[in-house]
Order: sequence, then C-alpha cells, then structure tokens
Amino acid sequence: MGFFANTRACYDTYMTFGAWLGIYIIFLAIFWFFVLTILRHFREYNLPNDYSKWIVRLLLAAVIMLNIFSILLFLNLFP
Amino acid sequence: MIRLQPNETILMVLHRHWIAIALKLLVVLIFLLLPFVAIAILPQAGFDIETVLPLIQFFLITYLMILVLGVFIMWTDYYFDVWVVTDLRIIDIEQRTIFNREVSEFMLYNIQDVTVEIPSVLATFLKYGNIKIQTAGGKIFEISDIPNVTEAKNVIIDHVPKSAVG
Repeated sequence: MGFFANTRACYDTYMTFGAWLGIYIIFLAIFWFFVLTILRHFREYNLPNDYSKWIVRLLLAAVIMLNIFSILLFLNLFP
Repeated sequence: MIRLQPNETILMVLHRHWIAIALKLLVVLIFLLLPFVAIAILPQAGFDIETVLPLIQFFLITYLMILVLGVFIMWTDYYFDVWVVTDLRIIDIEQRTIFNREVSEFMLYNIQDVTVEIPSVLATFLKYGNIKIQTAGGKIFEISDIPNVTEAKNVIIDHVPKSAVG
C-alpha cells in the first residue's frame, strides 16, 4: 500500500512538473522565435558601420543571461 | 542591406530623434519598477513572501525577460525606421511592426515640395521635427521626429537637380 501511495504521489508530482514544463517550453519557444526574428532583421537589414551591433549584443547578452537564470529557477521550483 | 548604384554616395542617414525611444523606455522603466514595489508592499500587507520566494523569483526573472524582449522590439522599430538620403534618391524604410516592413524610394529629381514641421515645445527645444516631401506622382513621404530637421531639409534641397526646382 505504501509503495502504491508513493507511486501515486510521485505520479502527481511529475504530472504537475510535466504540465508546467510543457507551458514553460511553449513560452521559451515563442520568446526565442521573437529574439531570432529580430536577430535575422539585423543580419539582413542593418546599416554598415554604425553602433547598432553593440546594442544588439548587449540586449542579446541580457536575454541569454536572464534565460539561464529562468531555467535554473524553474528547475528549482520542483526539487 | 541597401544596394547603391556605382556612382551613388550616401549623404545622410536619418533616424528618429532619441526622444522618440526615450519616452517608450520610460514606460518600460515604470513596468520594471512595478514588481519591486509589489515585493516591498506585500509583506506589509501580511503576505508571507518567504514561503513562495522561489516562485516569485522565477516569475520576476520571466517578467524581466519579457520586458527585455519588449525593449528589443522597440529598438528594432526605432532603428529600422530610417531615411537614407543619397545624391540620387531617398530610400524610405518604415518598420511598422516586427513583421511589417515597407521600403519605398523616390528620385531627387521627382521632388516637388519639401515641408518641415516642428510640432511641439519639446521639439522646439530639442531641435527635432517632421519632414514631408511631395513627389511628382503626388505621393507624400513623411518621416517624423528627425533631429536637426532644418539642416536635413537643406541637404535634400541642395541635392535636388536644378532642372527639377520650380
């Protein structure tokens, strides 16, 4: 009985984790779709010899850093 | 990337004045401060933040990700809204949204009328304004919030072929 009770608890925990993981992956996919679209715009249309590439690098670094923190914090939610 | 003709040179590239994006960034700054204000206020209202701290940290970082993406999109809109003035033509690039972009161009000899507008007190002090150009086809091209608008107009007028003036 104890085994099945643990299994049930484990199942509930991972199903919840799985549901949140699914939502989180969809969020990240949409987020990176927009980021990559913007990067594509800059690769295609940027004007030569201007300061924009530094701003893009700065924003991209911020996005990557926040994304890593976000993943770590998400995994921390389900010990 | 813009393709120039062999003997064509770029005279100037007109982006919008920094105030155009600064006002939008001010709104982002207010949104940036909101969760921190909430975190400061909630414990005083009796909410035990310690119990849900990991969840709050996660949503805060996710919220910041969305804000940075918003700044990224605003910057794209600002940066790609541009007029490239060459000695032969003007290329009007308008980035309406991230997936809506319009590029049109007209030759300088088609210019019939150039109008400069300085629409507000802020524009007067920061020396920015709008330029409207009417071409021979009757179409009006407009770019808003251009810095040093009078100088920009003078450069355009100076390079209109004399046969096209009057």
